[in-house]
Amino acid sequence: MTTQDGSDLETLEDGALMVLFANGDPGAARVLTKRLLPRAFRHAARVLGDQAEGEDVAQEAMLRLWKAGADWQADGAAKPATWLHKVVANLAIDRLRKSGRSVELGDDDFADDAPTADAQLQDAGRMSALDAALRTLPERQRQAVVLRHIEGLSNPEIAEALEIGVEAVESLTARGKRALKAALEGQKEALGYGT
Amino acid sequence: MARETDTDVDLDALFAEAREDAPSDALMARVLADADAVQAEAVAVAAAPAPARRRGWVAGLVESFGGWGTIGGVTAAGVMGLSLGLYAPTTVADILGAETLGLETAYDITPDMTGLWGEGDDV
Repeated sequence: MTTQDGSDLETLEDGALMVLFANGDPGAARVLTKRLLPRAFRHAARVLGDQAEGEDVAQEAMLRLWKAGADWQADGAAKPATWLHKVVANLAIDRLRKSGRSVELGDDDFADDAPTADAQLQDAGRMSALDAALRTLPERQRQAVVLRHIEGLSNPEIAEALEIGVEAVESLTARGKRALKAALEGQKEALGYGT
Repeated sequence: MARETDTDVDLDALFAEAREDAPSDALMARVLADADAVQAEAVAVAAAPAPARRRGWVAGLVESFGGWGTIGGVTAAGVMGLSLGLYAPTTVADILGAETLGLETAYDITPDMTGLWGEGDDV
């Protein structure tokens, strides 16, 4: 896929594609969607524990990205991927809180003692078990674990997306991963282990 | 995918599986449709003719005086007059380097016409 002036869109960075999109290039949105939509969708679906809701949030976040295109600075500090994860994180938290599925934040975010996932791990399927275990984590732990271990963001990128400090990210990801493992430990059969 | 059969949950393998999740084609199509709509709207806004600028009353007033050039000239003359009025006459005289009339100086500039009226010693 090439730009209107013939250069290869696939070789361009996301920020440059955003500027091309704002300038009316028809191919820029397709490349950006191919790169960014899977990330937004996985982030939203894993945090919400629901594929359909994940799709809604991912679509809304991408729409906001398109609308932000006109003001995007190609050489600005914001990276489209990090910006998008920040939007997804906020939209997902809004949904969790409105639906009453939120695990309250605060000091518990940094605690090791995640509630047991036993009652939530009845569904068959490894991804269902993962979602159920993730649901037992406080919101920010859940977001941090998903962004670090599934989306592969660096700690500074996660800090920017979640609007917290880098040290807090390190704590959240470490404790979150420990809590997640503990939550899954009793469900080896559902996960296909130890058979 | 190969599953471990040991006693530890392999979180990394689980995360790797989660990374394989992909959005549906339908979602991809909806997102691209949104992008096209936003892009079309932006292009339409950019292509629309700019609304005619309404001329303010100040601009009309300035034009009635002959434009900003005239206003500038009148203003400069006003400022000059004001400054002449504010400074003492001696200061102005210093600046001009010329004599000026002072109130204390009396000049008899009326010609003596008594000679025309008298006849001999009679007046």
